[in-house]
Amino acid sequence: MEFTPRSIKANFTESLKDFTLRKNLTKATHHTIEKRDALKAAAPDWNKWRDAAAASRRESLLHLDRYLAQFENQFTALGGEVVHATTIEDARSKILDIIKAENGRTVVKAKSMVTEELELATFLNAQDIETWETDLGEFIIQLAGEHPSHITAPAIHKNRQQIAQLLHEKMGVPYTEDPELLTGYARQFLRQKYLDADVGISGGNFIIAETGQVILVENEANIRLSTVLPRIHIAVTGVEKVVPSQQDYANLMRLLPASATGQKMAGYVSALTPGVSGGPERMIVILLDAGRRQMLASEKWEMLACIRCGACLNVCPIFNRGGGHAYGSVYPGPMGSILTPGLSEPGNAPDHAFASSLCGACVDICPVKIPLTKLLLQTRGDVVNTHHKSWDNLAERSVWKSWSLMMRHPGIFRIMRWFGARIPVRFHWGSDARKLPRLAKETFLQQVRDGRFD
Amino acid sequence: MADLIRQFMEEAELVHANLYLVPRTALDAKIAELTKDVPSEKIYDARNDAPIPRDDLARKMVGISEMVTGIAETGSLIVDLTAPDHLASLLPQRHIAILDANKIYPALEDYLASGEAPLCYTMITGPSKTADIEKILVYGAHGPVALDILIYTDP
Repeated sequence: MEFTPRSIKANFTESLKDFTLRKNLTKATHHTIEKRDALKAAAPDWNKWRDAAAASRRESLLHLDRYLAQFENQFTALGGEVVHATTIEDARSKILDIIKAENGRTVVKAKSMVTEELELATFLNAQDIETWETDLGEFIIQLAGEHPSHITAPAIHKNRQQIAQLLHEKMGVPYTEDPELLTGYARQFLRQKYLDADVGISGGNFIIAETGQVILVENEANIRLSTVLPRIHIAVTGVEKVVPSQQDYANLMRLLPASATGQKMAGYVSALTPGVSGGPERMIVILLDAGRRQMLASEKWEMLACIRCGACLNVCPIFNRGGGHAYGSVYPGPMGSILTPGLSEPGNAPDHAFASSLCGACVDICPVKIPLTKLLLQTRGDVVNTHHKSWDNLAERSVWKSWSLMMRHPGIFRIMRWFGARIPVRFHWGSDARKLPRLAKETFLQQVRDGRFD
Repeated sequence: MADLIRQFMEEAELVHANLYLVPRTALDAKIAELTKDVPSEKIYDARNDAPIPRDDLARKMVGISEMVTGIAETGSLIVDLTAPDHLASLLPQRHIAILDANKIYPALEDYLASGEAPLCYTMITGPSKTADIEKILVYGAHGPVALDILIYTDP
């Protein structure tokens, strides 16, 4: 399976035959949705929280530069450094420069979707900087040399037999299918890496404008270890992750873990600034644009409200059948089908927005009320307007062109109406059940004019 | 206050923490009881012991430290990262968290609004865990395998 957004059609054709994948995946996603639904049912204020979260995310986006400047002022006043990166390449080279200037040799990396956009671990390892993914799922994916298939559960496509075989082959540990033992092997191996690493790299779930804090959400404690033990902490985050105040963040934390993993609260939520006792000497926040401002200026700007919970993936019938890899992009599922072309250009992901039934399950579950189906339709429009040739889908185009012509010209409309009243229209020629009722011979307007109602 | 303590204990138990409610005077006896099977050189008590190198701390079986706050809504504990004892809640195998019953807030938003929160903190909810293999919950991913919470009250 190729991992490029252009390969989505071929990838789906292939992955639809993979029943093991579908079984692993649906078992996991349904489990998460059930837990999420139970939490929602037990929370009478859920819709209030959701409305507040949706409003807060849009407030941030509508005044993005103001809140980013406020964050930067607060964070630098505390002794932190803020680095702006316009593109993926820009971010990579700036991170590499920081590590090299500090003579960094080993990096421990927390799970972060933004660093997936940068393919940071692969990039740094290629530059001879030993970089370890420390989240268990990401660690498994790194050993397998694959890409994550889900934004919150990277190894969701693998079952325990596959993981057991992988750890046995790559780490030389005894073959075992016991998840506790497998987790223990990874724990043991990575423990020393945290203690030895010069640099810790994390993402940032939120950055708070009011206080200059970087918020990191996790369950395993690998982020805590990666961000407080090394000399240098680099947090890489998208510009859209800024929230105005601590109260906005506290409200979002009622929705994020519930929507992502069906937990009332995640295991560890850290608020970080410089000043951690015995912690890093330098803390640097990389604010990545990489297409976000371009998207903010477009009609699809609401997509940037996304808090990366992955709930829209879990409920999506297409995602559950094809799997995350089939999308060939860092962000799969409904959110990914809008983000992938939106952050680059429509032609980069020509088929993603069409890989949806527009059933709207994603809209219903989204904790920040992103109108995903509307944005998918707009993305389809972008693709058609900018990347389809005029002879693509000729029949469909002709039908709609004619319809538009008819509706704008009363003369043509009257002629077509006359035919419509006299020619039986069938959608299915084998049965009478689908026959359309014949139009009336005379229109209502004609009947009024004839004085039928006087 | 009794309601807050009860809610805190119920929520924390749901996320696999072990809960103990004791009078302040019985605190040390309770800690001794909980750690009776652990050799004393394997215990690091951040309240009394001098700071030790992190490599040594990582080899301890039990870390004991006092939390600044509890959050009743989710059964969470707040660790002040600007205080030197925060690694005791992270590196040892098992963490014994000590919490003053007077310091439990109803929800995170109440705590943040109080102005008491340090600038750097971690909110701990249950022991370290992962579900990255087939969504099966495993405790002790990279942090403490077990979390004991001792809430003390004034008689």
